[in-house]
Amino acid sequence: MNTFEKYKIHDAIHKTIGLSQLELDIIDTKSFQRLRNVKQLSLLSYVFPSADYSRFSHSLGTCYLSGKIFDALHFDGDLNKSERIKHQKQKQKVRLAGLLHDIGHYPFSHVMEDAIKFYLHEYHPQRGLQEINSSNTDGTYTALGYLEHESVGIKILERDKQITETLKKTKYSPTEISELMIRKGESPSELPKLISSDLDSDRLDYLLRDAYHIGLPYGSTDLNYILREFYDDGSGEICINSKALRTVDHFLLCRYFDYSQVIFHKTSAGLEEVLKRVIAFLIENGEIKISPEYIEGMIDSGEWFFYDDIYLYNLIRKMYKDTYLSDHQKLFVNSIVERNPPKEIAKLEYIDDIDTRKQRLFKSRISDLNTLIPLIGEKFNIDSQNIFVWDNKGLRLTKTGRMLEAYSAEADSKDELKQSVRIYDRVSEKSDIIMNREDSLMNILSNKALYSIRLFILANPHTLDNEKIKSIRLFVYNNLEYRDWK
Amino acid sequence: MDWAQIRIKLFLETLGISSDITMLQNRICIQKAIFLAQEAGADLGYSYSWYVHGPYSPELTTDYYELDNDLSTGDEDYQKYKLISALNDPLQKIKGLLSVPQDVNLPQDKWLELISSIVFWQKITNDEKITKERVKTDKKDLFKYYIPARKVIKQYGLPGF
Repeated sequence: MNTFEKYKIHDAIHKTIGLSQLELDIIDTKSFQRLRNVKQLSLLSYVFPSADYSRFSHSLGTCYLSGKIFDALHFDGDLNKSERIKHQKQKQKVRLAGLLHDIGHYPFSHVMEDAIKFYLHEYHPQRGLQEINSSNTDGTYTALGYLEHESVGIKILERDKQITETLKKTKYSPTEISELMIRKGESPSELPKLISSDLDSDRLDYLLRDAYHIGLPYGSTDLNYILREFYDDGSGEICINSKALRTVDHFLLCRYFDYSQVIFHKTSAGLEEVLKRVIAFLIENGEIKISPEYIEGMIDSGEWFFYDDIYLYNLIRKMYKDTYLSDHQKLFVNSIVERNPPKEIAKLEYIDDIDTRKQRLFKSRISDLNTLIPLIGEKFNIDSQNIFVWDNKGLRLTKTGRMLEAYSAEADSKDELKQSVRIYDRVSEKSDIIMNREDSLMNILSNKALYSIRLFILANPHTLDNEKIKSIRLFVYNNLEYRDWK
Repeated sequence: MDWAQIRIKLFLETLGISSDITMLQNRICIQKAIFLAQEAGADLGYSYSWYVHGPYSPELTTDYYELDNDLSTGDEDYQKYKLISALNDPLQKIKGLLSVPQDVNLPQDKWLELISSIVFWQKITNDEKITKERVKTDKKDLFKYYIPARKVIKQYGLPGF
């Protein structure tokens, strides 16, 4: 019997997903079961009601696709017995890395990570610094660090008793699995980078899953064709046969539309900004702790199992009932519990080049809008804490742009280029990054980004009517130099 | 200058690393020096993954380009501040680790790439044998200095050594 078909699970996207005994044992651990209660798309279901699938189903899908891509790259028909055993072991390793790649996600996924960054930036901006010739310091707050979800995932692999005991019974060490999760630019020589690149099992799964659950076609990529055209160029580089160039362009565009139309939908983007601030209240009140030591302690004690969306949502509900909150805090907590999203007052969206100058311009426009907040508050009698700016950091079609090397401000050259999709060229018998192909849309588009900035106001619905919104909008337009605000 | 840039600038000054980012070698030095400082206990909150040149943080890249921009416009806000002792002390402790030992014939960026790679894999694997294997495979050109590098890291008392 095929090792990876011992158990079967029916999945809405991939239909039948086969599982090995080891995978089933991992799935049965508490840390993995926890993922049932961590939504992939956080608050997006406030806008698209069916967008409430969990990281549990996405992880199963990523496990399945990691195996599929591995199969596409490694034909096993001609292998002898020992080669076949090695092949199976490697495939299991890749599938396990896919299965476990999101194991360390916090409640509400990326929103909580953004909330931690927001908290550190807004509540303790001067942390670690002391003014010379002054005793004024935020030095008492020394918790500068926190764990990103990948790091939490590695801690779970190292410390979670059920997972370490399950792996101990097998030929796999936690290190082998976590290694595949932390190697961003390159993978161990014997394995392709399947979990973290522009075209990987993680992205393929979530795009298809988003499209299915949201009911919009933006993520509908031609999965089977892409899977058939995965290729090893002979130098260990994973690439796609040039026949599938258009399909890869389409896949990268799908991701762009998924983000611009769905993930960055104004209502969910606004609500997620509100949720960030609510989580920051909880951290400041000591209801949530974020230090690496505390997270490690939760993993060791097994408390991590309960640390999910439900746990956090219950804390928010408890706040909702509390009477000690300020008006500002109450407004924000009510917004989440009662689904009262902030109003988008103004927005600026444009597609432009990715280079240092354009990125500075983008930042200066964000800064201009932030400068207006106290003026809006004063003129329209709104607590300025309830006015905030959201931006998308510049949404790009590929992780790196074609002009990467020319614009040194972009990144550190090869390190980030390693995550690009490569296309196999039949003539030269070599692969090259898709952005270098003149017949690819990415040749032009990888150098562009969608820049998006929005101004939101959170208010009780009866205090912010359409007339007032119009007046505020006019005030914003009249006070900004750039005229394309909408 | 934003607080993140002030912290980076003061970190680099304390460690004796230039904040000039014109050359890739300089940028490698910054990446690895801050990685080692974080491992020594002066945690700036940057998350590192494994890339071509060893441990690398894309977020730090964004921040030091921003610092470069601030410095080029004459912004010297960082001079008004100093690091609190909880950050300064670990930096002072490992400062010497960043200098290339006399018996090692490597430029500073390569030396930092080697020692930060050893520290990275030791932290992930908690296993000396696997760490050695990883460095041997991924850093072939630097591997001949593995033993002296490990010895120096131990001397400076980095966690796990």
